[in-house]
Amino acid sequence: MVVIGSGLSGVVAAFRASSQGKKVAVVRKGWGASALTSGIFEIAETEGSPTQGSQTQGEQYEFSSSLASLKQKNPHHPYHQLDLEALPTAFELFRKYFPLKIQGSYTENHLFLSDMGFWKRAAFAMESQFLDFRTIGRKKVLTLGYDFDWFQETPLLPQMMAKKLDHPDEVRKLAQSIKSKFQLHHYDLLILPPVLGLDFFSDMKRELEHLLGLPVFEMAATLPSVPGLRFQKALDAALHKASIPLIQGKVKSFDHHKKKVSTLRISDELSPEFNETTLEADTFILATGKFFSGGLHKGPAFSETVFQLPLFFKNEKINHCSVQKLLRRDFFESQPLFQCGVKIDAALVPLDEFGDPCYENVRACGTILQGFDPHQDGTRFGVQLLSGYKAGDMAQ
Amino acid sequence: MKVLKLIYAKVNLALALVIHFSFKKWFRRRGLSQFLSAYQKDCVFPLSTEERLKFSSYSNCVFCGLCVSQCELTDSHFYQKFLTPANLAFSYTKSLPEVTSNIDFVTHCSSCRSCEKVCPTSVPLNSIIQFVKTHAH
Repeated sequence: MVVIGSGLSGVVAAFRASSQGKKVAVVRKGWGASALTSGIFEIAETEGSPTQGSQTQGEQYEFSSSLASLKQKNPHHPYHQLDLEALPTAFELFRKYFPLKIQGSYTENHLFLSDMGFWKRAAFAMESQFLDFRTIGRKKVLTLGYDFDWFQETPLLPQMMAKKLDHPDEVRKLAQSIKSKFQLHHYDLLILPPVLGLDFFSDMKRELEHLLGLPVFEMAATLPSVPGLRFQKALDAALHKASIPLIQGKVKSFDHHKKKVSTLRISDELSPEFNETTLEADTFILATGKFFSGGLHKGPAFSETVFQLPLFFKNEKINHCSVQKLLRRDFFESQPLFQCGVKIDAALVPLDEFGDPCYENVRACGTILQGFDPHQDGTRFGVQLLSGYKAGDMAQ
Repeated sequence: MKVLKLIYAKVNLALALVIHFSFKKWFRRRGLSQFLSAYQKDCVFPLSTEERLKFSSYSNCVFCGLCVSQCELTDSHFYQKFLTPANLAFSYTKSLPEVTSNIDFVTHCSSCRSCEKVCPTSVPLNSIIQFVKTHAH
């Protein structure tokens, strides 16, 4: 089996297939949108506007009812094809190999603070970012943003700050500057932007907690994000731990006999000898993601970059549709452009406009599926995890 | 008086002509070399056809900053102030930047290509670095 794409869904599919004793290889061209995640993982959005504070009445956090209304409102959502009860088993499998700790619950959302200053509801978060604002009660929280002196002095990118903070001397300097500016005995918690180290972040967090005598947490990240980098590095490490080979290269072309894909030709432009490898497999899993990750591309027309599959928005083919038709004027509205993708049947096989399977041994999973906006509707993690798990299950 | 004025003007004109032909080439270079030297101050230089063809792909950067975490240079020189691969690539998204401003990054770079390996929009960072190396003097 060959998985194309090393994001979250691709990695989960590879784990599932290899746990069933199949021979799996992962092909990737580079990092994608998984390397830009905020460190917060959503399964379903709950009621209540996210800009309101934590004291507002009538807010819901359990998402069983909102899942039903989501399914009713959006008949093309991938959750219709997926079994939500498989979530705990899929997540346990993922946790088995994944080196970082992800905390949360399967039934309700938690309230997190993002580094742009608004509230974020999500089911799971990385351990260093898991500060649920519903549970802090009357505790006093000291919140430092990017406008704090120490962050102002360093280069502009959060990655650079994180790399700098991988060094214990710099953590000591940061602790000194916080101590000199604030009287820390007035506060119970400290929350910082997510820049506390890249490779040694748990050590650096402990060091800072030791120096300040306060529990330290990180906020949810916006782009460019350090938790995303940690996440992608951990995914690579997890693939290595599960001894699944990772092949660097771009899929140039593929051979198919009638409706069965037989081989992929992969060329690695970066390697010095410019070699081209062919991969033969029974099943191919398409986990390439949407526009940013390179799974979809807008040239003269919209296209899917690996198998040239037809793309859909609300079951209408949009390959030759103009971009203007898929965009809304309001920037914060859900954009149809990001909801378009591959149409699938119950076995995750991509379909064409007549409802027939394009290639019988291809399974599509992850954010490439049509009907959900991974940036907006708050179901990204659930779809990625469940569709990846199912795709790994469906492989012959 | 009229005649004198006419003679004076013609002598002046002749003198200017002599000066023009005998001295001007010493002061100012002409043609293409003059044109190029005038633009060299602003770091504008002619591009070959090959470079022009490649140049469109240089502008793919979206400044996601993933390459920064992979760059060895950021590790070893992080206390010093210098450009990251993301800054270098992003400066090529608008127009041709001043190549001389990138030279300190390029001279340290070992072309390990680890930045290219993670790039989601496949910016040819290594060929940008080669481009800067050939043109920045």
